[in-house]
Amino acid sequence: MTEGCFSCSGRCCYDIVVPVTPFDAWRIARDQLLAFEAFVEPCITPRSVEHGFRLSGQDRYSLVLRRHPIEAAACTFLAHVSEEFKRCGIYPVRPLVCRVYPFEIRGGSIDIRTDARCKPSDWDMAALDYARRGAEFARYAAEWEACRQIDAAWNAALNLAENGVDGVDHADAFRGYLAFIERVSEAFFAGAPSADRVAQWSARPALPEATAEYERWLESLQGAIGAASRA
Amino acid sequence: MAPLSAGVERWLRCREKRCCFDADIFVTGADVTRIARTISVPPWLFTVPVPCDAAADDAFVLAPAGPRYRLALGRTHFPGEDPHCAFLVRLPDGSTRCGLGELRPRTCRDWPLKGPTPLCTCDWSDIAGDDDSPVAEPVQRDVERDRYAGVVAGWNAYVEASGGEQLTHRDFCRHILGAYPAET
Repeated sequence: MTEGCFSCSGRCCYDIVVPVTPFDAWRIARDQLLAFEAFVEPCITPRSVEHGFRLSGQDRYSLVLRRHPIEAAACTFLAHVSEEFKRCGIYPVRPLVCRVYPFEIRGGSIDIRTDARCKPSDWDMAALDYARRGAEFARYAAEWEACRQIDAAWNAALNLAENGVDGVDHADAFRGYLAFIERVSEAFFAGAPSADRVAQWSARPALPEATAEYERWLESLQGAIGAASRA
Repeated sequence: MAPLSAGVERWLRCREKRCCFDADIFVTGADVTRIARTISVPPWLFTVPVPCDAAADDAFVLAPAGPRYRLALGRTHFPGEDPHCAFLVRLPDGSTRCGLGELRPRTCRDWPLKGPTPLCTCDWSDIAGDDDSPVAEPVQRDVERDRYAGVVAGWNAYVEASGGEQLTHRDFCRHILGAYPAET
């Protein structure tokens, strides 16, 4: 558990929509042996957001974590250890957006978000492991780029499928999208000999723009999307 | 990610997990310190003392010649719901999962091949004979149990010699933390 989270009661796990990448969802599903539908749902995205998959109609959606079945304001994966302490029940495979919280890249470096729910005293910014945090942001940026490419491929396939068809059932389309991201993820991670491919990659110390390694990563992604699209 | 054994997979996939609702989940000192130090929550906030009759080797007292207790994981109680393990994760489709994962106590790792099984709704008949996940570590389990029994015996001796000092579950938990130094 990271240092600023020690004394927290899970404030960031309440009343916040938690967007997940396709690879986030795949890691959780695989680790917890869960069907995607058990823990993610589609959420309409603002027009300004670059990614987003279509279902029926022209709205675009993001994957978000579902809410707790009893305490609706809480994340479904929040464990209520005590009144004082709440803890993430999938901490080792928590989504990337949770890993980087409460930080953001600002002014070329890592800083605490201005809208963070943490107390100002929770984080000692002088003692922060900037290299490790930087690697997490690199992974975060790359996986959201993967999300954009996966969604674009899905939308293109859906456009083709809809050609001459009166309409697509919303629920069927969502199940189709989930099956698609599962195929992409399986194809993408199949190349790793044993360890988690992204976990290896995430040790890189710098942001990924224009590096040879990142280019190879994107090529693998394109191959996985192509394989999943043909299936 | 290492492949799961058949037994662990059966347990993980179980939707009901009655074992997390109906059973007291007794823990050892190793369990308590491992969980507390990883999730950064003091053990007195996620454990409870459960009265016990038998002279179990992990039964502790809080007063000289007083009633005996065993240490168990605490429970969460939502209105209108059965209380369940504080670490149980609830999903909207009715599925449940363990929020401790690899940190879960020994007694959960051994379930249901060790101990009573009437609560369990799963069919284990095809698993018990060939699954190696719980039974592959009998030596470690015995060492862990014996060490905890020694820690509890040391605590009980302190209480008996304390002359009636008012002691609490929190004091016992702090004794455990002291007996299991953090790895550096």
